[in-house]
Amino acid sequence: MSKKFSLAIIDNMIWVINLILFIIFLLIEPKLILPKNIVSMIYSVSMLGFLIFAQAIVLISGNFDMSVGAIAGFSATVVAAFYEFWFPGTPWLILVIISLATGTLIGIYNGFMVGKLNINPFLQTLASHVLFYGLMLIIGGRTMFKLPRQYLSFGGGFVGDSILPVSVVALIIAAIIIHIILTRTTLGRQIFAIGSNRIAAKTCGINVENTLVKVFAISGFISAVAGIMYTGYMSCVTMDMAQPDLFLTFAGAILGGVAIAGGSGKISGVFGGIVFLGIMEIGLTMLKTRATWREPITGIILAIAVVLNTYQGRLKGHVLAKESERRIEKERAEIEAI
Amino acid sequence: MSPISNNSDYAIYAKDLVKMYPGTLALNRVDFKLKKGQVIGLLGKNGSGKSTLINILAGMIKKTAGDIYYFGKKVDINNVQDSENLGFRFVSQEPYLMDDLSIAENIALREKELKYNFKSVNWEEINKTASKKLKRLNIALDPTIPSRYLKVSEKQLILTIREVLSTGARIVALDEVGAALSKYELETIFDLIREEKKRGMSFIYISHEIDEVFEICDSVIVIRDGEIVLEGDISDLTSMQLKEVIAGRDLKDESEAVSKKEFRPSDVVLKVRDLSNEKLRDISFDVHKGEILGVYGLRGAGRTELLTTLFGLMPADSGTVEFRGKDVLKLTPAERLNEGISFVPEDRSEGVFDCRPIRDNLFMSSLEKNLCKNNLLIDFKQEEKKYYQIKDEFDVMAESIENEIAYLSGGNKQKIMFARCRVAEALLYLIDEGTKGIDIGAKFEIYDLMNELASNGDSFIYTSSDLDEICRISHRIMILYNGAITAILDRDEIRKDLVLHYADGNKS
Repeated sequence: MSKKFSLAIIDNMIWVINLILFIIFLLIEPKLILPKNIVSMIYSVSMLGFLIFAQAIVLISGNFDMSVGAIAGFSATVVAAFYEFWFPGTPWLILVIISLATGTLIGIYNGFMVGKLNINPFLQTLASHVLFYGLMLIIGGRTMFKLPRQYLSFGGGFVGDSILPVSVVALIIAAIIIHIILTRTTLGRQIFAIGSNRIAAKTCGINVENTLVKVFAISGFISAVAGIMYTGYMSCVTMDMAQPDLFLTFAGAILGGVAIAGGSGKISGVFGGIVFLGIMEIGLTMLKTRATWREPITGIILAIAVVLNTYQGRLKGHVLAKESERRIEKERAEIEAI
Repeated sequence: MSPISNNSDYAIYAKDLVKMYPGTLALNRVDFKLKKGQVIGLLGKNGSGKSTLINILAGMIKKTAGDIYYFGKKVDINNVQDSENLGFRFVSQEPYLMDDLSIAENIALREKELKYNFKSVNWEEINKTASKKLKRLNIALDPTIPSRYLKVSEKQLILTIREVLSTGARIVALDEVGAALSKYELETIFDLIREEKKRGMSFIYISHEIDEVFEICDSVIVIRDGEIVLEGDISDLTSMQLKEVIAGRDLKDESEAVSKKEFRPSDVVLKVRDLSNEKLRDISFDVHKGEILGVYGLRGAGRTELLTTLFGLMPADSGTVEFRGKDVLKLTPAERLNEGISFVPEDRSEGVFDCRPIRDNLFMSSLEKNLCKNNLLIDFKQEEKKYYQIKDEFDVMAESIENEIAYLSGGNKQKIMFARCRVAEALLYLIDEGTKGIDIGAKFEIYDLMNELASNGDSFIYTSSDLDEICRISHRIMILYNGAITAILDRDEIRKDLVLHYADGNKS
């Protein structure tokens, strides 16, 4: 195997795993190949997908965001309360703006605490998680159904008359935009830099504090988009919206090759992580796995993700060091011969 | 003559020691012998393999091949605990003490009874033992104060005392302890070494300063590129011989390699007046266009702090800093970069983004200079064009701009950090220890680069703890002591003894 090929395999390991997993499920259930089934595979995780992107960006910057689910749920609840209690009849476009603004503001609050006041990101976002799920119960208090049809169509509708859900298309567009932001803009480069080496980032003149505020703001914004998608998918706002998915946001990002220590990862990989969770979801449903088994299986997925994450870098280093090692071995043999 | 009886004269006898790293052979069949009651000088340039040797003996890294005998007995050293039990002590050049513990507690950390038993702590005894040890060396410090309040030199003293006077110490390795100590303080350590030597303790003395080696060592070993190139009694050697062997080339070549271009002070680029903060006191100096200003001082004298303050990473309490006629003291590091001030930190781990490709590393301080016409996206083509220019100019050994920088050698990483300032269109380079831990070839390439940039009108403030280096490359040398300037020497006044004299805190 050439060096380039092995490196490409290691860099895109998740897609190789996806392919193998897909083929295994295909052998069990050949109907999986139908376009309808492939689309629903991604549709079932498209809301979660947004949360995974939100998490991935924060992880790349070397931080955690435990509050992505809470932001999705809270911003959705604010919208529902606006429409049902406070200002009935608010146009759907205004509702979308309210949702996105709420998510972004919570993100800015997290970013301010973590970046400017130097609070540990895990503790800060955990506090936000508890705070905003708590506030949801006060503002909403029950499952809320009353929402305009257009607002619900983001997460529940289809593009024209096709079988393509709006949320899947939106997820793909989001992936492309986030990819461009991370790789082609100054902000993206700086996010990677901070995650890779915060002190070095300072010596390069990067304003670490402000960049962190932006990172959490982006995460909050994307989480609010996820909130809109969840609402549409379920046609309602539940008070535990996205709560069970919190750990899957880490699993998806890490499976996709985002380093838990920060500084590396790419969106094509993260998208692979989302697709992996989709395949698992469909596969487990197909095999009629009992609900009680879902939790432990999630645990196993997380464990695999962490192992992959740890060894991916080492494997890569191994491949790159192989050539020089061969040279050393030769030298060594010469030494031994003397 | 059995091998056992042959070895038992030696405190340490390491035979055919080999250490391999992926990519390099750090030690190549080294035979290292240390007699009982001997002080051996271990010399060699950075990256020559001397730290590898010491780290193997201290149990920090594992040898690839070879045998080690302690007092005639073959031993296996698998971890630090093993070497400690054999009586090996190591005084590192970074004086790591537990900042929140008192001097006495730090000293007591080495005592066995305290380390392994759960019995209650006898504070009185701990303080008494510590003050006894301090008194023996005439050090007037209260053993109960937390060590965070100590100066770097005092920390180094405490650390040395702790290791040398700890129970069970039989061999002590001292790694460049002189770099942080004044002459007087170093004399105290030397007295201690001489006393303990008589009792049969052995020492390994690592240093860059030839004069120190001549003063304290009985014999020397010089390591170069992982091999012992010279072994002998100190009385048989001259300092010129030693220097030549260490450098591995004719010293006359070296001095010629660095251009002796006449530098005539013209326009003042940087004007610093009365700059003070918690680490600096009333710093005033000028830097001219095309000048290389060397900054020398003992460790802890404020060299790094001066540079980080000028770059804006450390706040200034008072004073003015004028760069090309503009007051920059209130500006952020990013704004100073735009004005043309760049900074290369001492420790590469503070300047390099290890898991990022060369592209990110090279352009991180000049992202805005490579934007497309729409001012939104980064122009990859433009970056690549600049990269190929830099690759030629700086002679960087790298396959592709997308390769992670972690797989480059130390010298090439250093070049990328210099190049980062260059692509950011720096006019003033603040460089902290620009050649630390890189091989001698790369060092000279960097000197040449600096000279070339300087002759094109760029200015440098360059700190180094290598006295030879600072004397060789600087147009002027500014000497710091305890955060204040003791002297600024012009090119024709630069003499090593003079530099050392001021570095010890003597005023002119």
